[in-house]
Amino acid sequence: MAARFDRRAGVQAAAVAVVVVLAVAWAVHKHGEPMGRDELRIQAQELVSQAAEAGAVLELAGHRHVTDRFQHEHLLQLRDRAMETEARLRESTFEAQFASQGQQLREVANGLVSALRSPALPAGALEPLRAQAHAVDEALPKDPP
Amino acid sequence: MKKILEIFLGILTAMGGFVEVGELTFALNAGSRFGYDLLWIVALGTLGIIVFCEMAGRVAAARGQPVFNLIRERVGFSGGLVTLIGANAVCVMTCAAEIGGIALLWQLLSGWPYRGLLLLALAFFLVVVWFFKFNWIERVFGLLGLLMVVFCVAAYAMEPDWPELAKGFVPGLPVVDSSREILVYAFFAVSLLSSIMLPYETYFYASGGIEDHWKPEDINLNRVIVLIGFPLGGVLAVALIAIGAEFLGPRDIEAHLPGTAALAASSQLGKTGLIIALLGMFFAFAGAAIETAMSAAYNLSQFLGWPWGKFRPPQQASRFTLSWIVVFVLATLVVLTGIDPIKVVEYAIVFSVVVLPLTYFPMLMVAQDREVMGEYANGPLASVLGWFYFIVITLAAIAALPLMIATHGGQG
Repeated sequence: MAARFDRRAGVQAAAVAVVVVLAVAWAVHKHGEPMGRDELRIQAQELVSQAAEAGAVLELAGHRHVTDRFQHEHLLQLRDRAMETEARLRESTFEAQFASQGQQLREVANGLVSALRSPALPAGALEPLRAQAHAVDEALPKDPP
Repeated sequence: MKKILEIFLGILTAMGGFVEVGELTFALNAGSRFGYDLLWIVALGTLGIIVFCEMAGRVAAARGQPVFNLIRERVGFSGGLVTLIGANAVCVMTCAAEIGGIALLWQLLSGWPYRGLLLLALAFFLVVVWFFKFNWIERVFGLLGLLMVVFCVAAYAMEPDWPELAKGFVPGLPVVDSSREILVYAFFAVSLLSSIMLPYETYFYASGGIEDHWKPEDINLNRVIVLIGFPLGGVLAVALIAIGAEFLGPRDIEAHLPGTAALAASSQLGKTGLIIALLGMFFAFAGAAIETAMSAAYNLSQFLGWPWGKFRPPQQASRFTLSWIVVFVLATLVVLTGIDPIKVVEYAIVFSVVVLPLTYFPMLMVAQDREVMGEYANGPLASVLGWFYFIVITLAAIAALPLMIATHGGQG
């Protein structure tokens, strides 16, 4: 088996290793950077989606379209995802010109996690949070069409 | 009668095994984000997987050679080693995502802790693959994966905009409000194509033909299965895009959990639709987990010349058996770290399109070689389509990683 590893295989393995190391280094470098417009937009859209989906679960539960178990567990899964978004926003810094949007998104994320911890969440309770995250997304500058 | 039953089961199995967690996520989110604009990619990808699997099945039936045996033969050990490593890394990542998806589904039904369910899923797969014969694995998970048809019913009940849906099959750029959205659209196009043309499907399909002892007279069976089964699977992908467009998009929801798809089914069909959707996804994801784990073992064994196949007792194919066990264990360890399985499958799908031309090209070379294939070599249509798709997937492979970086993994 060892005899079948020739120079060409070694070069290929080295090339793959270099690509992996560069990718990890790039990811570590990006992780430490302050969040800019694009990263904030991603967080805003995640919060919009999480709040909207939780709202849809509650709406369908109100029509008895989902089982109690599904409602409970799906909201828990959504809460876990909202907690990840909240932790990302809490641990990040923001570029100076987007500091206020970053702070608003932190508040939305906190509100969403708290709401999804509530045992008796009324349908429609999440709409203001969804609208707030959506407004932040809309306020962020866009690339030209 | 036996032949007709075999064809019927083959078609249904191909359809039931068409969708897995990555395709589900990308199709739903493509619909949510771009409405029906990416339907033409479903048509392009479905024809592509037909072309690729028809060639792989034909070579397996005519020559008795599976994909990685050909790669070793055509490009040698050194040349094929990177392809093997890349292909198997993608198989492990995809298997991890399917196991994670199953644990999330079981959690919705049981309320048990996620990590415990991951270990339960590992035990389930080890028992099933150890004890079930190959065609039972193929048929049980393929046929019960047909419960996914509930998404076709749900999409129809949503009364989609049929003219818009028809227009989606014509390639074009969407109307967007920023130049960045064009890049996201391109990323979704490449990823959706990749999720439909996942290379493990071909490894498993060709190896499965040999497991089923296909001979040259089975080439027509192979053609019927791919020509009918895969387009029916494509209909399922169309339904998922329609659900994305009609249910998720208007509500600003992006699918990041398997339960999101079930929610869409329940909106139209109530609790019955919910349960059928959860079961359908379980069998589809489980089928994909088994296919990816076995594909990695097939690839390794075929490349290194080990005895392989479920038709052999484990003691006669011990390294093959150990390989699929190791893949299941590795895949479970990946998701036990707490990494999001949907993120894992998104990366797996992007990387799989990078590997795709490396496995496609040797297959195309053999399939069109008259000296090797004789009367079963590619005809004019298969040759034209074969080269067309080689260009398409090579362009997709070149674009995949830059698009993933530029769009933050399709998030914007």
